[in-house]
Amino acid sequence: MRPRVVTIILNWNGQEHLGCCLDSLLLTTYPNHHILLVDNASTDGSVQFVRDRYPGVEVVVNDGNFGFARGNNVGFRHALKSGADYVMLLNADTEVEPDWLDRLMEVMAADPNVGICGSKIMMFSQRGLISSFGHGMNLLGFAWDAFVGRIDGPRWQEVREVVSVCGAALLIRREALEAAGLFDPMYFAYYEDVDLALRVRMCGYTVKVAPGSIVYHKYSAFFERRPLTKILLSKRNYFLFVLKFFPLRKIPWVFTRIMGREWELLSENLRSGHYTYCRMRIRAILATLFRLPRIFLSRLRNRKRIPSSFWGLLEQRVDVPVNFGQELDYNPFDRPEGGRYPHRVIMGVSDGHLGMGWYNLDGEDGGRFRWIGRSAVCRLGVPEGEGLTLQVHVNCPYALVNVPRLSVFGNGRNLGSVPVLDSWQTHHFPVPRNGDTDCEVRFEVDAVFEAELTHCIMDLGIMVHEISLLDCLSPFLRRPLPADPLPAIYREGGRLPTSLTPGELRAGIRVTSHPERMYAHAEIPIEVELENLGDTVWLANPLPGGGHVALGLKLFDTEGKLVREAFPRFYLGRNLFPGQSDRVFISIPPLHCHGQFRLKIDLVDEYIAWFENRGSEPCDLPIELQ
Amino acid sequence: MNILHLVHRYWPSHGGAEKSFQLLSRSFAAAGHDVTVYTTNALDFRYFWDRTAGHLPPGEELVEGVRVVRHPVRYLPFHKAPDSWPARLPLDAAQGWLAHSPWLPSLIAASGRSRPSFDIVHASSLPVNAIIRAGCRIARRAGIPLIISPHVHSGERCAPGGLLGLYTAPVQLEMLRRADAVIAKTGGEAELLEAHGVAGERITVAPNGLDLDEMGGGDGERFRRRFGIPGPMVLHLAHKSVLKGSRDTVEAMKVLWRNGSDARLVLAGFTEQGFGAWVRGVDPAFRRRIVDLESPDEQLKKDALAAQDIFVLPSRADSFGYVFLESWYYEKPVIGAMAGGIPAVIDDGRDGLLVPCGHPQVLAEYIDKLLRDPALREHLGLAGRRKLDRQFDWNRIVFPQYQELYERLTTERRG
Repeated sequence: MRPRVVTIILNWNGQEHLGCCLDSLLLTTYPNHHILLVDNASTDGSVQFVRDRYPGVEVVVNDGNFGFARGNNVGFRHALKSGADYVMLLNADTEVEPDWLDRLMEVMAADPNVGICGSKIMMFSQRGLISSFGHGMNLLGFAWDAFVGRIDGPRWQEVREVVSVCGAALLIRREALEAAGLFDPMYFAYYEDVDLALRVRMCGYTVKVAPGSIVYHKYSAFFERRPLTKILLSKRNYFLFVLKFFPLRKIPWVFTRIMGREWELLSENLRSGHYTYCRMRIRAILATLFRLPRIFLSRLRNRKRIPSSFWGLLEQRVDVPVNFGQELDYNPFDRPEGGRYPHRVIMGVSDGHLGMGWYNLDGEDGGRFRWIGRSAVCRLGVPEGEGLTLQVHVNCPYALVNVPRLSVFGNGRNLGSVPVLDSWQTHHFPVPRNGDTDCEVRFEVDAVFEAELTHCIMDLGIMVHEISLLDCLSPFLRRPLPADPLPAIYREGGRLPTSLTPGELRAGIRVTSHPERMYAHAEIPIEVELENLGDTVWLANPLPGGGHVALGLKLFDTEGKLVREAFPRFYLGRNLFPGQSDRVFISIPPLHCHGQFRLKIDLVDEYIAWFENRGSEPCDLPIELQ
Repeated sequence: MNILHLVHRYWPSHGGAEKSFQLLSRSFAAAGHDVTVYTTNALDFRYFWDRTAGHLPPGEELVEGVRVVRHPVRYLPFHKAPDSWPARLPLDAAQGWLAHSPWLPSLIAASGRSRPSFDIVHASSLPVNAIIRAGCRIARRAGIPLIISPHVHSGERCAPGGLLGLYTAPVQLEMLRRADAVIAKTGGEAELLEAHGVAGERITVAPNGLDLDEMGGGDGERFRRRFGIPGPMVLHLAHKSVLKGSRDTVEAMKVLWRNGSDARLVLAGFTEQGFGAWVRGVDPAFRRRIVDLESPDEQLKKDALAAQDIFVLPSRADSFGYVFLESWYYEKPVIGAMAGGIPAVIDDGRDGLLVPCGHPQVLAEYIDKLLRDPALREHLGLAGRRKLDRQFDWNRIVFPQYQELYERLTTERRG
């Protein structure tokens, strides 16, 4: 007899999704399988619908909307009482493949140390795209659905150990559940799955994803109606999670960074007029403060269980293989309205018909570019006229880590490849005319999947802004300007150290202009000339985990006593290589104090060191504030 | 017909809305109507929150047959220049709301008094709500038709949000919904207004037009001699700010200069504080190749338009882009941005080129291409001129649309 599996489906006014989900579940090939529907007091007739149409499904009705965590806990208790060996959590807005449970059970049976096993969750409407392949997490405790938006391929066909898995499709061993406990009801929804996975890990089990088990998920179907609630809950629960699990000595470090980021986002929202988001952010912080006593009790209970191994888990590097296969499995394109493909794709303007492989992080730069992780395709119309050239406009912000090569294929034929540097560049590829009216263009990027630099477990990719197929007389055919000569970092096989892993940090800092009279309640505009005198490349773009170089200020009185150091950072305009210099124009916010002071201007390798501490000479500017 | 126009600034102020209202008022006056313009005494837009900025004496005067009443801008308590408190709030939108909508007590009083009856009121433009609110009040009290030209700067198509918020606040939309007619400059603006709840049948699409008779007289040679520009010249004529793409233009020229180009960049227009500070920080080697003109007069502007080789305005904040028409008059190629109403004016690749906002490299490559290809420059310039004659000729094409609208509305109201 195979072990007994109870699948819990939590429902709240989701009748429209239930039919599809339960129909597919009934086709499950695993023999000892029992379905339990837990209803959070739906008012749309879901319960009656299931009782009428699926008599084999057991139904438990809660008194109210208990949320994801408490609602599922009811199901957990019920399942354990009914003698389940394994409990499966499945969202109602999903559809499963018939063998999904067999594949999960294979992983569980093969290794008794696996406490939780997740399915490979795919997008419901675009079934070739991954919705979640486990969770990724960074050192700040922020968790996300790993590889969301990627084309499914050979890379995601191996069983892999992950930090945690998405609660939309999660199988847990009975012993692990009994040892770790149920979901923490404090969360209501979001982050409870990460919380449970970490507790299971603390009990000595591992967490894996079974790639053969496929579940199609309608992303955020339940919170579609209330997206702001989703933001509030996920933000609040993130804070709660950090406070609950992080080692005490790390919490100040983490929260300084989290709050710095929150402040940036809040200011951004204020500036752009998204006041509702601001309200949600502030509410999330207040809600967290309100729950602090409960967190304190929880920490007391778990104090022996929060070992430094949790920190080690986050710090572990995830090595992602780069030698995965070439073949893509995507559907043919739908022709756009009018039956003819455009000659040009401008991201954010005419990218409606793009094929698979493109993705855009939420609201990034107003959608003016799309990312390619590994491979992407699009189809363009062939213009009439003489000659044919493919013009692409690309950039790779990670080129300092690893300069990727972009290979371009037109109707399967290799058109050439170019290195993609860390600035926007236009490249041209001649395309042979062979009478076709349209051309499938495929982009392949090699070796951009570098696992993490800044302790963020993330994928690297290249940014694409324009793809155009142009005849030789087209006004859009731009002659690419000769690029700046390649810096040594690209030219030689060996690389210079960057500010991520700095070598010598030494700078020449000189104030080239400042106002003659400075006022206590007015901004002070200053022009500073910087010269890189060390051997390290200064990275200019702010990185989430630090490692970029910025200009920082400290204010001292005439006796050398520190008066103020809480100044904003001023970013460099571009990466500075050894020997290069640049000018930075900074505007110091009003200091609101009178008298004579010394303003110390120095560079800081963010989260690593002030240049002064590495032996570099800062710039001292005597000022008098009126 | 006794017509009342309300606009936030009027000639000699420069700007798209200002220019179109000058043409409108002058043409109706020439057609034998009584035209009154209520406006403010601001010359620079910054005068709405900074009393040191350029302004005119308040009062009443006759300009080109039009009675112009300039209401004085007043300041709220603690509204001290230059550190006005709205400008110090950390919210752009609040700055917009408070700073752009000036306090005009005399206009409020004038809109409340019983006046010799007007037949129609036409008010413009957002986000200067005080002006439109006064127009609404006058129209409501007198029971006459109200037209609003909101001039919505929709920003980038792919990134709606911040900028649009200045034009679509509930109180603004309410005023638009109550108007008898709302004039959109482009089809895109009309769609946007409709999407925000303005009834489609009340929206009229009427582009800006150019009075071809008054545009002549630009002397390019004189301009080049005066500023010592022997070689290629790129012109950026706008309210110089980040939103108007001034920074992208300079960045693009820096790419060209690094690659050995000898082109000069002429920046002409009123300078916004933030941009002024930024441009002062540009490397002096590059700054020497920039000719920076602060608020040029009409003749200097025409000379610059005639002297240029390429006109560049990669603006995120234009509902139409009047200056493109002026460049086309001199048969010069133009480069605009894929944002706001510009794609409706420039047909990409046929009579101009469009670039994405925030990608100076693409702009640099297009400028470089045009500088190297005189035939393409001429082709785009001529195509632009043909389009100007065909679609944007004020006297022949655009003004009759306004006449018809005014007559229809007044007749309907009387009927």
